[in-house]
Amino acid sequence: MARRAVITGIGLVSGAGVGREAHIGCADRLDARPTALALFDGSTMPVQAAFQVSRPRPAPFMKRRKDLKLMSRDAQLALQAAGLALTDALIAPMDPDAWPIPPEEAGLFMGVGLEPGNITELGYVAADCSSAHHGIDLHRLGGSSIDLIPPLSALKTLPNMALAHISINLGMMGPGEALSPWGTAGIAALGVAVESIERGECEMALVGASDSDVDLGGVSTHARLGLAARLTAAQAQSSDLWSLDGFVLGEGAAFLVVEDEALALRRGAHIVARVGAVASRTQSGAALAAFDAGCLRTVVNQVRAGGDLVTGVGGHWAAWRAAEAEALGGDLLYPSRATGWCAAASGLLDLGAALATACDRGYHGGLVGAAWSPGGDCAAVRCEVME
Amino acid sequence: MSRRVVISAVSVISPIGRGYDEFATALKQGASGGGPVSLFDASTFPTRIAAEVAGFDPELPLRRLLESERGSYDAEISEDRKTALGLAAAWDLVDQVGALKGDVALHLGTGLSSASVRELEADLVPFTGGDGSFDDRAYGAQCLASSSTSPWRHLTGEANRLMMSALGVSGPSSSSFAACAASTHAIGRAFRDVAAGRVDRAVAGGMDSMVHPFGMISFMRLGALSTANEDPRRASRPFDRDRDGFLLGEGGVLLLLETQDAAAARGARPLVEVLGYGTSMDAHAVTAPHPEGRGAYLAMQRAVRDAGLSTADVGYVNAHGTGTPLNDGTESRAVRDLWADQGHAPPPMSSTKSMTGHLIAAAGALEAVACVAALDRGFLPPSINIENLDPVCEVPIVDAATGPDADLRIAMTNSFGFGGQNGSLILRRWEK
Repeated sequence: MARRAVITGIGLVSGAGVGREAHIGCADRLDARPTALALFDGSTMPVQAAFQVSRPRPAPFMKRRKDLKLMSRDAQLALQAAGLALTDALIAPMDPDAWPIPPEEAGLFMGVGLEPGNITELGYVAADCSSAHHGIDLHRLGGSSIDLIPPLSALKTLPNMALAHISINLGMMGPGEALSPWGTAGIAALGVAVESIERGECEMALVGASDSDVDLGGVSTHARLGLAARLTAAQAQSSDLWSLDGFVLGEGAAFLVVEDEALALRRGAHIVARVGAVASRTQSGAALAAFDAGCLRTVVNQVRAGGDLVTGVGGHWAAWRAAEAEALGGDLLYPSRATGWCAAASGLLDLGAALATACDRGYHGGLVGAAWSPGGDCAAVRCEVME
Repeated sequence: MSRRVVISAVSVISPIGRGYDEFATALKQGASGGGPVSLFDASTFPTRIAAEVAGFDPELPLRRLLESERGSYDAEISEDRKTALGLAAAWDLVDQVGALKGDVALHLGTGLSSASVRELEADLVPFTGGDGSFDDRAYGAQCLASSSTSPWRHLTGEANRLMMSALGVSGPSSSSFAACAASTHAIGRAFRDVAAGRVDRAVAGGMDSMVHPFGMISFMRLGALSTANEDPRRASRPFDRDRDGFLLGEGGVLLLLETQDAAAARGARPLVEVLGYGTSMDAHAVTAPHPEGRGAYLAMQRAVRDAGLSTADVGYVNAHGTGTPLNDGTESRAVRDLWADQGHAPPPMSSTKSMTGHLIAAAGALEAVACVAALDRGFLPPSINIENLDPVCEVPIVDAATGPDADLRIAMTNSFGFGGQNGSLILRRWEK
């Protein structure tokens, strides 16, 4: 009998809150407001507010809490969301004997994003080996300045490290891949997981994406790319946030437990949705930051059926939202109203929040999650909501 | 239904040769790409050697893209040598096979975008003080005024976008970020796309160059690089008892995967067939492989199973073989155990990193091409620079200065990344 992938658990962490319940109705939260940047002093920056997680809490899902110092914020968010997804799927994350299949056989597929590096750390290195007139002195960099770079700092900037920390802490040794590009990464990872389950490579998988760009490097990068709306902390509390000229930045992680339907039925899991078609596409010749409506329409039309709900990408970016509505037709759902643009986590976070809402409101039918990345990457997945 | 997938063209820019013929010849001859770092002044760095692509001009592939009017790029991206290497490989593929029609997938293994010296000088140095301070508030206030456009080169999909423009194709696309296993995973993605019928053709591979100050510092701080500065051609010595780390390499490598029918339609001779792909995670540590090679074992086992083979069918293993003290022993243990568990003796194994250095995100793709050459031309690529074979390596190593001739039918290539992400591919000599 053909295998069929179903979603049985949702784990979400974002500025909207922690857990599935906290993300119900995200698209309707007209009063959702980003807060002043909290990880560093952003008061001089062109972007001063974001939807932020007050504090990632991965510790309940860690074997050794001292490893926390090796984990980037992305990785901490990812591990927390992964643990929540398993819990939501009625699987005890830290009790491998209670898993429906051995964790060693469970797959793990992640969308990962940009890691601009620790600007402040690099700033001090630059200060140590440079002068205003002569720039960086490579002799000093390779000599004494090298010791200013922490030995394990590279491990915080490798994009696959979030996946590594989840596999280490949850003991997962099944098939695993860390994919990008960026905003479409989570949806692409879901496609890989579904195929892996349908092919019999694994019976169950964690699928997720995480990103946190609310630090000095991430905020300046988004500002310079023209993706983030210029927003002071005061404007964030008073402006009409639904007519901005860019995204409102956010951070977060979304994980789904995806498994073979037969396994889900056998173990009495609540089936949230069946996963249908997944499509992705990069359009050749696309401009750097332009929204390619044709590409998004192509992938959404590859997966959707009449009457489906569709999540949109544009969020607070008014011009984009208008172009998206014209390309895809009809009213789109924007869970990012309460989470902001969470870069690599965006597509899957939107989908997870929309699934949580649909289940809560008793919706039965098709739900399409759409995603986009700068450079013309688009992806979409159709889920048939069951719960 | 799964379709037969062949590799019918490869594009190689490597430290030991550019183009398939040159690379395959150098591989058989046991050439070394090692030398002193020439791309920047590394004279005070603990490691001052690397395997560079000699004579590579990163401006050329970008200029060709601009002149082709196939896509836009920002001039500052040319600073990103790895993207330029990938783009040059894409142009080499275009020159070989011409325009590819219809939807074509592109899956790439992509490396870390470390900060460049120029970026630091443009973006950070103005906010430093003579007392070693850094004013992050001033940096934040001026971040829009910077003349640098470097954020683009750090975007994870930027290389895909440029290379699709060069190839003139659109279709499914991804970047794999599995560290040293990245391009093996990318080839696996392409294999699945073509086998499942999502596309008839896919281009896959990887590109990387960490031969720049902050790239090398990252690995030096992890203690991963060889410091055999006095003898760079012999510095990369996987499976040798006295190995002391890897030699950083660079390059751009692409493979064209297509159905047998798609290859026939354009009159191409398949070089090899892709039979299997497997991945796994170590679930052990972020900096060290599983001590018993459990993750490596699982990736190889899954690839063999995916290919519908037994280990006895595999005639050669291209090892991940970095030359770090930890990797080579655990990998050979995993090979020994997997073959023993199926009742067979392990086949000959070698590490072509002994010649090419470690191309990081592009390593898997280059080593897949090494297997293509071995199968297509009938030889075993050697592991050079072994003076004292480490007794911990309990697998027959192709310990030779040049590659011996061999009637090779099936080969496996392994890639194991930082963080415990593993991938294995199985290729078969083309047989109708």
